[in-house]
Amino acid sequence: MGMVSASTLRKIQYLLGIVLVVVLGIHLAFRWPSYEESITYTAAISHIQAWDFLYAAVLYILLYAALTHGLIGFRTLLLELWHWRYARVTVDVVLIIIGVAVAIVGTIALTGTILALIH
Amino acid sequence: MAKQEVKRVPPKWSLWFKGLDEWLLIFQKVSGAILVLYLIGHTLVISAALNLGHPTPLTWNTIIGMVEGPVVYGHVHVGTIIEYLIALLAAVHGANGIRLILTQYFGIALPRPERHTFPRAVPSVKKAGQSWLKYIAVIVVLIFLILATLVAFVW
Repeated sequence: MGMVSASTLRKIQYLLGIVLVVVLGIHLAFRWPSYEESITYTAAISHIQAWDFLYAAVLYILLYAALTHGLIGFRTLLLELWHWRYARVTVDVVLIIIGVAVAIVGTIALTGTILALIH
Repeated sequence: MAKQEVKRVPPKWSLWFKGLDEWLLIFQKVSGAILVLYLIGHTLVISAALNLGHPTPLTWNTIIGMVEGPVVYGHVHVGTIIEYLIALLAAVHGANGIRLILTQYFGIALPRPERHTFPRAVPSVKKAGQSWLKYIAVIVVLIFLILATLVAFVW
């Protein structure tokens, strides 16, 4: 029994992989031209303060797409290694809890920062 | 009627440890596991550095300073090297992943199926036809390596 068939999950996984190559590429391009300069407080908030839509959109897409892609992949890996009776339900429940928790923390931090900086 | 016991047979892992294609698939799984653990840590650290939506320079500098660690040389910290290696791992994972999608899902670069005629054995899949995709992935990773090295260590 499963809510999503394995082939659908695989299609989602491949589609998110292609999306991530583009979005992660843009996210890493924001480190240009110097990594050390790009991670200062001023540089980190300047894009959001300037209401750079691409920067914020990339962060949201990256958060949800990377978490989904990563956790589907991790699930596949764990189920290839674990074959005991309740492996599937255990892995699914644990990974969904981790994924939702991290997504909530990331969304609160990102949305709060955007709202705090654009006002 | 007695309940039938289904005995699960563990997979023969030794079958996997042979050619380049198999090793690249193993690499994809292992690198993916490392990257997902990094992603969870990265999201939580940056969320904490942003003070969960109430950003201040003090919180940002304290937490980013903590994860950056001590200076190795010039402006390069321990964190810079770790981020550089993770970015490189993500680039190889991405390039190899796109290659796997093109090969496994779209069947690009796979040879045309041939007619099997007795008494010929089933023709084996020619690996040479698939190698150009691997060369493109290597070139993409090399370009990324040069740019990432400049951004992390030179500029």
